[in-house]
Amino acid sequence: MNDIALTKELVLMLAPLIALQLGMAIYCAVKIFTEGVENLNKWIWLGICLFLNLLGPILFLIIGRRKVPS
Amino acid sequence: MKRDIMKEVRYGLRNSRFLILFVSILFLAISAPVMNKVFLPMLMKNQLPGITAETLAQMLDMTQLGSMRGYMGDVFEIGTIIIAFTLCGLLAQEIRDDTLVLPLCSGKRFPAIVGSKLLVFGFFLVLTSVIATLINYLYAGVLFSFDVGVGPVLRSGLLLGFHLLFLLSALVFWGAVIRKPIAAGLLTCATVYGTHIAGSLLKIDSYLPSGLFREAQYFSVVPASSILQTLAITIGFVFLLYGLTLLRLQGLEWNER
Repeated sequence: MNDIALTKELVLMLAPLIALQLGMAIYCAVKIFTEGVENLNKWIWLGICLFLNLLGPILFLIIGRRKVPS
Repeated sequence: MKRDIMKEVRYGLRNSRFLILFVSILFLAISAPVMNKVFLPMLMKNQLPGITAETLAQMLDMTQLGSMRGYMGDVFEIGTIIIAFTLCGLLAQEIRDDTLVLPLCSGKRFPAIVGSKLLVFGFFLVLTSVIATLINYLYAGVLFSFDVGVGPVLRSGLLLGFHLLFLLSALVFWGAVIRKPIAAGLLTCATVYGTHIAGSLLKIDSYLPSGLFREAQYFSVVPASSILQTLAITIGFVFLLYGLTLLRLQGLEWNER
């Protein structure tokens, strides 16, 4: 079994990635509740953005965001 | 032309295209050194119990240069797919939805419309690849040690950016030909990977845009003598695809009234 110990050093190394992922998740959550969604339910998109690392927010921004009529 | 450029900038901002591209490439730039420093050695140790540090060092290139090469490989393999599918609707969607008719009716011409798309997103891709390569260089340097100068890093970032410009022009071209965003994205991936495979197998990399990517991966202090030739050929390919896109658009039927 692959066991990876979560040390302080490892968390520090991962901090930029965590910040990036968290930033995108928060940005998408704001967009979900202010602009609305397409194709799926709001809560499903929120789950996808929170739990699918980076891919979730990208998927939401490409296919899940409600298109504002120009 | 200025208005077209502003329109494309607004499109990129409003649809979060700039954000998606920047964050994706930045993610690859930051994750490559972490993978190389932490996760790959851990996985190897777990998979091969009793492996010595020397054997591990021989199997993995655990240096700043190794991380930067890993990042370049990631941008080529994963970044190509992300860019192709993020921007696949750039022209194809507009043709499909007939929204190109509006600028045409207001007197705009195809060279300005397509040119502004290439200019705005091309500039953004070049800028992003230079910034992300620099961030990758700095983060890999902090995790390992600084053993490459900043000059080769900047040059590699620029070469990668020009390779992505070729990808963008192929995307616009396939968008005009196929008029289906997803199909245009798939064909662009096939074009980029195809030129890379053909260049490697036939050893004609220096005559193809994939030569830029190969040179970017070396991070060499002295660039290869053929790099200017490869750069000129790539810019030639970009103009060729731009011209073919315009020809294709002029051949389409538009509902101009």
